[in-house]
Amino acid sequence: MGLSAVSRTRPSLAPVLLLGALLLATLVLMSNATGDSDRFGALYSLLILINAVGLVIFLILIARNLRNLIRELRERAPGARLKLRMLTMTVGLAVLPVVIVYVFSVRFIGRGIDAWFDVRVDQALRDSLELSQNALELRMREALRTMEVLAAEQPGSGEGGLLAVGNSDLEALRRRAGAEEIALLDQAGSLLAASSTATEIVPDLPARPILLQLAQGRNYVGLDPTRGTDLYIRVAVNVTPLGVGAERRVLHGLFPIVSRLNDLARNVELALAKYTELVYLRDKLKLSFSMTLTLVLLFSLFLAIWFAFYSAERLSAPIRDLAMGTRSVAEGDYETILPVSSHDELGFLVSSFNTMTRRIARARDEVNAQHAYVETVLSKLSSGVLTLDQQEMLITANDSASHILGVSLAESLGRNLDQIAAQHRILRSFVEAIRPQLHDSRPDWQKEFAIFGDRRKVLLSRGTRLPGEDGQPTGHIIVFDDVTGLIQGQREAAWSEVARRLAHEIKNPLTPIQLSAERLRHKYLRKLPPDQTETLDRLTNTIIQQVETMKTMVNAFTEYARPPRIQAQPIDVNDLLLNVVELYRSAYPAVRIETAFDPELPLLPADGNRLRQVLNNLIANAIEALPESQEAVLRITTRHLHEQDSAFAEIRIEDNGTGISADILDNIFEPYVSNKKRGTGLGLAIVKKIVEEHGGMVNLENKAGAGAIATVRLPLHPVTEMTAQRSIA
Amino acid sequence: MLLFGGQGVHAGNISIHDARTAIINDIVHLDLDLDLEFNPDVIEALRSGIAIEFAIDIEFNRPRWYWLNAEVARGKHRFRISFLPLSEQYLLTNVVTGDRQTLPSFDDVITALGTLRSLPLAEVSNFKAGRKYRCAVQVRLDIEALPAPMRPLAYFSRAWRMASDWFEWDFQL
Repeated sequence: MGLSAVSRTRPSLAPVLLLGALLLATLVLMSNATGDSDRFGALYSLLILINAVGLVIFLILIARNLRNLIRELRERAPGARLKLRMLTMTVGLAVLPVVIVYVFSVRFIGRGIDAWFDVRVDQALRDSLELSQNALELRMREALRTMEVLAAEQPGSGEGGLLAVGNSDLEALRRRAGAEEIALLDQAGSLLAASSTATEIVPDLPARPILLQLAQGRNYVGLDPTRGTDLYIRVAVNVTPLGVGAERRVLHGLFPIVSRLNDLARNVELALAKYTELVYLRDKLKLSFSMTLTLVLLFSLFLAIWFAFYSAERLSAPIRDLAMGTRSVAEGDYETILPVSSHDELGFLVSSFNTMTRRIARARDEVNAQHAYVETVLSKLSSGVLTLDQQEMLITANDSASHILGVSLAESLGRNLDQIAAQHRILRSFVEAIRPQLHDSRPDWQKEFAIFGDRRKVLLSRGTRLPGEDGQPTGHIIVFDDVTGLIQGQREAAWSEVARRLAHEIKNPLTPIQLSAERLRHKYLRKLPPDQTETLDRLTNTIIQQVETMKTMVNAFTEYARPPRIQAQPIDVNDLLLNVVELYRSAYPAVRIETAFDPELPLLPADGNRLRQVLNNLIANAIEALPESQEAVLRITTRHLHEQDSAFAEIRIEDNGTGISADILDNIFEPYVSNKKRGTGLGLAIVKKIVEEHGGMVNLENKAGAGAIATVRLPLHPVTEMTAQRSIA
Repeated sequence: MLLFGGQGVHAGNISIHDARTAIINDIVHLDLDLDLEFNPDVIEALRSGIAIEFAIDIEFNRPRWYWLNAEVARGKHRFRISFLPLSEQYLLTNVVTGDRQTLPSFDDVITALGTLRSLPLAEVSNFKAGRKYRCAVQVRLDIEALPAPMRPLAYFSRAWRMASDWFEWDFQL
């Protein structure tokens, strides 16, 4: 038994779990990155991208699942509605709490971030900054004044020009001013001389915008964090040349700020910078947190929806399998084996289903085997078997039924008896014979009847009602056998026995009786007185004549009992008839014999002598029945007949005599059944015997007016086949 | 040394006006003239304490007719602008070299960033004398250097999307 397993593709869990873990990790990193930009700040954009891509993948997975579900719903696939219900339930359970948490979280984050900022803190920081600026400004003004005083002394612009100013001169100036570094530059900003306490070899020079400002005649003072983290006061003043045409110079100095003040100012600046940055980023931070939260929400939602799909699929798959399995069992396919995927109640149900289908399949196989066995038996039966339903529709017919009835019943299955009878004329008598039995109240019946096809067949038919599940009849079963041969054999056997006994018991004493009578006559005819002679002569003559008659009768019986031995030769029936008719014309000139022979009648395979005997007996029979008072007419015709698939030669002998009395009409062909006072009573019996030996039929019936018709039908098929059939029968 | 001037192509709100190479002490240096236009949003962010970084990417390629161009050298410079609230000045830092400039006004920042001089790029030994090379330079505002919360918006905002087209010229020793 080949069993096919239902295959099932289940969404794989591992890749989705992996994707989920990845997204979760990136979300954790992202939430860190939003708060603390140093740790994962560099990865922030990448994390967002990974998350977006991951969510899109999830969305695609969900969309694919949804599309499948919609298709299943449209196709009314088993389990689809269940899946939808489970999905709706799970999603509903998951979505609502997540969305509520999301909404509240977003609000809390907004408020939380807003709570970081306070107007008073803001103001305090700004005031601190201003305080620092004021403190530093005092120092800056001092430094500027000092530098302006130094510039007024015009270092490097006196006698001796540029070269006269040495680093040592500047060293003195630096000490006086209390600067950390002092440099003298030309108007283009190139270094002329410098003095510094710092270790740097290259002095820190003012930037281009400062030089530009100096060129416009405005001195510069400013705070500068140029060197390391410490703040310096940078001062650059013009040194106005005294002489005409002398170049303008720039005195540049860097003044350190008292360490404590420096630290405080830096702290204030840093704090304010951080605070203003936060203020600036406030909305962006809110947005960022909201975005991270939204991503978390979407991730949770998508994961929940996907899991809803996954679990719905897992739960509905065995139910769908069961539904499909049940459907295929209903359609007669017992080969389905469902996969048992779990060990829970569903798994138990599925394995029970598998056991059930296996058992059903086994039972079905057994029934099939039984059926095949019954069919084989039926087909090998020599009896014909038909089954009909309540509407007399032919349900089954075995080969023997077709063979016996002489028609192929295979193509008549599913038709009712009337249709079959209309299709096959040969079955009309069969249908007429069995129909009354079908409507009979008795459940079982038996009937013997004849049908007329290519030859007459006697069928012994038995029928019974087919019982249904509730005891009500659901149809009929009809079994019939061709008993033609059997009946004929029985009859022949009986008559042969009679004939044999007659021959044995009667014929043997006849000869001594005749001889004795002749001897009696011979011996005493001359010795007796003449008045008694006549009596003796008459009596002995009567004995001898009657013995002769008895001998003829016994011979006829012997003839009847003789086993059939046909010497078939092609016979022209018309010729044969003509010969016989001529004999009777000369013997009975008073009888008018009319003939109408079919010139198309082919040669008939038959035993000529026997056939002549048939014609003799029939014509003699007819002539004997003719009236003596009025004109006697005998009409003999031959015809070539085609009925169904068979061809016949038909000989009709009509007379206008007394006809046959109704009480013997049915048994007219039995021995000793006769209309006449004379004769052996075997004439028609012998006719019937010979005609049947030729596979033909003989029929004797009364005409509508006066007289009778004898009809002989002889088949035109080859004799070999005919004898073969007879030997079977 | 040969210098070839290139054509400046429109580049949003940064455009490279001119780019030149010069060799000083066997090192190829770059002089860059830029036109910079800042969106007020950017200036506001800067004054609110957000540091802004510009990235300058330079590539030296050897053209090959039979295959993709071969990359010979690649350089990168970064300039950071930040605001100092105490002195109300701007600090321009070359992140690579560590050079710092304190500038009194934002216009000074634009001027300083618009005339970049002597940015060291690559050693002369990377190049073969007489062979022609293709140089390309691009200047852009580095959104990834902004604080994380600003980045997603900056990527989608025209104000922050500052990048020049690639400026190309031929270079030969």
